[in-house]
Amino acid sequence: MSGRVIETSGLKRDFGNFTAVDKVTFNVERGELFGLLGPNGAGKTTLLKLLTGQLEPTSGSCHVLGLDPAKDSIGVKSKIGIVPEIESPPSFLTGKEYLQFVGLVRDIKDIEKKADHWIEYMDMKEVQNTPCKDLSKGTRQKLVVAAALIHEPPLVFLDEPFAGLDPHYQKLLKEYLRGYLEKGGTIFMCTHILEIAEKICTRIGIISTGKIVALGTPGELERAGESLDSVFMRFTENSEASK
Amino acid sequence: MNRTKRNLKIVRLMLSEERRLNAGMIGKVQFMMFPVLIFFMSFVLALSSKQLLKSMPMDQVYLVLHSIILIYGLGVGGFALFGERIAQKRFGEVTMLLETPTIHPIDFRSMFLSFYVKDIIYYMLYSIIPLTAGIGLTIPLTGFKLASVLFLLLTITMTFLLGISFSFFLSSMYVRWKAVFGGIVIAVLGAILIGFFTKAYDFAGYIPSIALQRTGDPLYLLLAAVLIIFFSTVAVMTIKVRFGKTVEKFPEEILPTAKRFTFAREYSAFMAKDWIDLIRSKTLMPVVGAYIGPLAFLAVLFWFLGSVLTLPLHFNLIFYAGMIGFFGVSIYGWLNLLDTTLFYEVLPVRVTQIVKTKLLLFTVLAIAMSTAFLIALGILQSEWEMLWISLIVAYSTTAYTVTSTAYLTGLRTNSYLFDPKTLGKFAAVVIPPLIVLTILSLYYTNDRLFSSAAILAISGLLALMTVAFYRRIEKRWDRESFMF
Repeated sequence: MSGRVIETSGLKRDFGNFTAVDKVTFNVERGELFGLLGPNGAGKTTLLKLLTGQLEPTSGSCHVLGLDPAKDSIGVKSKIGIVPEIESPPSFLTGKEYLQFVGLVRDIKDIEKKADHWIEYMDMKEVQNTPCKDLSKGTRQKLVVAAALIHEPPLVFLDEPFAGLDPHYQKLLKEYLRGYLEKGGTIFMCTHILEIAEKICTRIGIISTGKIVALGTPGELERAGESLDSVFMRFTENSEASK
Repeated sequence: MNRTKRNLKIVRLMLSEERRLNAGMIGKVQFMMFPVLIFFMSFVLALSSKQLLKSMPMDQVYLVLHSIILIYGLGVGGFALFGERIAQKRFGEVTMLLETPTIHPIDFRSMFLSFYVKDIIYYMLYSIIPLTAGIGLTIPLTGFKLASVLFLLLTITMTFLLGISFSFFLSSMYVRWKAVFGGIVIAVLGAILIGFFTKAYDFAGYIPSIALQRTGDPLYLLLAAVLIIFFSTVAVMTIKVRFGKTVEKFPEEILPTAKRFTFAREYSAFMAKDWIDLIRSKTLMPVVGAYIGPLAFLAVLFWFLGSVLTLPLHFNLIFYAGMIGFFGVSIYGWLNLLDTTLFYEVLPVRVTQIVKTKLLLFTVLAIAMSTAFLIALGILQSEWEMLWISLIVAYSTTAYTVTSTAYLTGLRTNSYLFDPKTLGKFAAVVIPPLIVLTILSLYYTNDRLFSSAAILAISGLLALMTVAFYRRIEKRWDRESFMF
């Protein structure tokens, strides 16, 4: 089996006359933390949904862990973890129950122990018996992160995972992700926070108006003395201006 | 913009909010059903007033009507008691206009006054006016005087306003000063009970709107208006609502509940989740009400038409068994409204698994409720001998109607049933067998053998169709997304 965990070729998705993802071709290798950056409405979330089987492509193809998400979305979702853009855990289950429920759905052994571990790790003990609808945005975000990682998948897709988290938990999550990468995991992450992307991503793709306009390691993308901010502006300002 | 103009605009916006919220929650069709039902009921009752007055004097008819309206007003007026709940959310994460004072410079009392006026207008349009309109429409047939109908509208409106304002007043007292609340309740209940048992006075006569109905004396109109303004003003001035969430805590239940549902095999976890949702969202009673309520209403209406008005009408147990199947759709609709399904999108779960879970949970609820209802009605109507065939009809029609609904609408029952194309298909699938079963139920006493054979054949056919629809659910919804 090759080291590639994500392979895409000419991936395209239209919504009526609007092309959200336009013939995107790129690969992600095992052990990478691939950061997908782009302005609002650039197509980041749509691309993530195509890769995770939440949407079907209009044309082109992609493979995730050797499976085609368009043909076997359940197979793909069984193997991966996903943190969605909008944290919407079930309203009436408590935080701890939600993790146990994910364990039942994914048939995870020792689910009670694992749920306890994540509740403790994310410092949610005080609110573990509170229904999700009454949790704060930040706590809900911690919960969906825990729910995506609880089955220890080899590949995780994170859509703005740091949104709503305070600096303490941002740091905690960054540390966890580093450890996860060291253990051989792969991460595909959409983010707006360039500072985090610059610090932790091993490779970066910049998407603008549905097209990948830059691809490489942070070092490859940055010209001498240039920050990732400037790189981002350089690759996206034309498309923004054209809007 | 002056204060009054601004408040009136807020009332208009709140009315739109209320309409959209209710239509979104229960579906536009069901939302419109209530006033239509009230209108139809009062129309039928007014039409049969000649027979009705033979067994009940006019004064008693008025008393019953005003009592119902008064209880209705009392029931919907406990704003202060539920203030926090209605201010924050109803059925999920809905932020209401009432919450505006938390982030905008408007005082809460003004907003609540608008909310109160909005609720009065809403309930008037939703129930009091359809009720009077139903009576008014019979004028050419019954010879009622238009002035009498309009006078009735005035008196029942006053009764409703007395009920709603008194309830609002009481709930405000309860929140602020429980002792005052207790004192008022004891005094009122005491006065009612003493009057009832000693026959020393007629308590109802002290209610100004009822006295107005009986005497036509405008002084009672003035008295009623003064009381309504007094109760409302005190309530608005003293209402106390705390913003911020009232957080409940629950013990861990998902794993033991899933174990209890192991009979559902691969659906046990989903079923456990839906069951917990049903209990914690306090939706179980509305679900039972939505199922049994219309059936009980039909039973009472037909009993009234048959026994009180002595019309030659009798609907037997088999008829109700067929109707049970039809009303099952509302439970399935409720189950689909319980919670968001968005989080399933990131889990290895198919839409069809959740559709089938809802069907399974529906089956558990429907079997329990329909069996209990038919047994109770069988006892009341002394139709034990029909129970076996009625149960077969109830189970087969319920399974058929709900499975076909699940096939046609998936997890978006209320949205799809408002689509004329889907509604047409639904009607074509559900109504013909119901009509045939109704005819056969009416024919049952004439030729039991033939009717039983025909009913059993239809039930068998419906069971086969249920299996066909169930199998097709997979094909129809398998690639569907949880995202709306």
